[in-house]
Amino acid sequence: MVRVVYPLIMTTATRKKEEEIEFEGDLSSLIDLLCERYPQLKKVLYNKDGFNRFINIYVNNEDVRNLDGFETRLKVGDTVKFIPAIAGG
Amino acid sequence: MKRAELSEEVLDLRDENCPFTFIKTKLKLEEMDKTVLRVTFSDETTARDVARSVSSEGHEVLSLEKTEEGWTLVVRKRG
Amino acid sequence: MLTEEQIRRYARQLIMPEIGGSGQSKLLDSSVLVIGAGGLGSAAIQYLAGAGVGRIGIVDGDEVDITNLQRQTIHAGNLGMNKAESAASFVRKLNEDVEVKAYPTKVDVENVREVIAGYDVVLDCTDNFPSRYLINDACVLESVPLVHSAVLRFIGEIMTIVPGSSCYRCVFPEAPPPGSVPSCQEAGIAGVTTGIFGVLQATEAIKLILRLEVLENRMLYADLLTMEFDVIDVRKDENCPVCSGRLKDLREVSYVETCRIE
Repeated sequence: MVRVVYPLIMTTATRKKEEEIEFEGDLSSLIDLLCERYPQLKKVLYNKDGFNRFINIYVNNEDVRNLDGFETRLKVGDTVKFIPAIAGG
Repeated sequence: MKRAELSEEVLDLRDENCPFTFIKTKLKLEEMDKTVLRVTFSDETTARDVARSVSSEGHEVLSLEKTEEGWTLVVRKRG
Repeated sequence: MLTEEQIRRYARQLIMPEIGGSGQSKLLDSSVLVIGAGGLGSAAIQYLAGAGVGRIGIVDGDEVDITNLQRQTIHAGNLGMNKAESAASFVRKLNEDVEVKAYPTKVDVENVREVIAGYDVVLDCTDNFPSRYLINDACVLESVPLVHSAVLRFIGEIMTIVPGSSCYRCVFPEAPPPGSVPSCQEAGIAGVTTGIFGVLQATEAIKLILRLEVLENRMLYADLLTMEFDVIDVRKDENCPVCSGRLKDLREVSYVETCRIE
């Protein structure tokens, strides 16, 4: 199981703040799976140029840009967090 | 009072209350150029408490004794 | 040399090995600029003033509104007053050792570098992306340490940027297009969230002044609902247009929408 944590902008589509997903594969495949499961997610995560740059993804608190990006392989017990930029103060 | 040696800094805290007994001792140790501080308190408990506190900050307690004026602690500044 | 009154006022921190008399001198000699006297700023200002930071600058062009009082407690009794002035009056009441300067205005490309240059540390306590990118870029250009923090509902993040470290753009290279991430006005903000993160900003500022360890190349991210506090490594992006040294003048950047630098 992989634990996935959703920020506010994704919870309108997922209806939950986090979940455990039976999954093996890379991050890109996980995101495809989520978009399939929650159809409204696509327009939250993507724009015409691709995946939104203002949403960072962390696997076990490591920025995937420092790992293998969307090809980062996920294994059992990993936690994936989607963290968008926020500006409140 | 014992005549303070030229290389000693002297501090009279007999009229002070806790925690200023420790704070003022600590501040003096930090600020002074000399290496040894002779400080006098009004009672033994206070003197022992301050001795313990300055010791835990790395200073060396050279002596602690009852004198005519009160309780006198002599400390060598660390570092 | 501290006065008798100062020894009493700062007694609780003079006792601490991390502060002591020498630390207190550093605090009294230091200056911190708080940009934004809203949720984050109000919380930070209280503790900076309490600790005896010698000079505090406060920037805010807005007026105290009743919706502020749910979290911006230092503005009590000051409805309608400019927020920088209101915050300054709080500081004066709390601690006369602090020289406080109110800037009843907003920072922009023309004034930001000049204002920032006069301070040892800057706190970004603003509430919008263009200001945040502007402040980040200005602080890197001026080599002034910056404590960034942002919040929403029960979520918050905080990171400290110092000369040579990663900067805010290393984490988020560009802002979300307007409308893609809700603001506090739209989604809400718990008073406690701003309270906690504002005080964390003051903590980082005080540690910077005392030369203690700070969140450099790291971001603390927390969800107060689950009480998960994560410290995330933030590596310096070699391609970052700002902290790599490529950006020379703020006027080359358009601080609107995504605030992107090509």
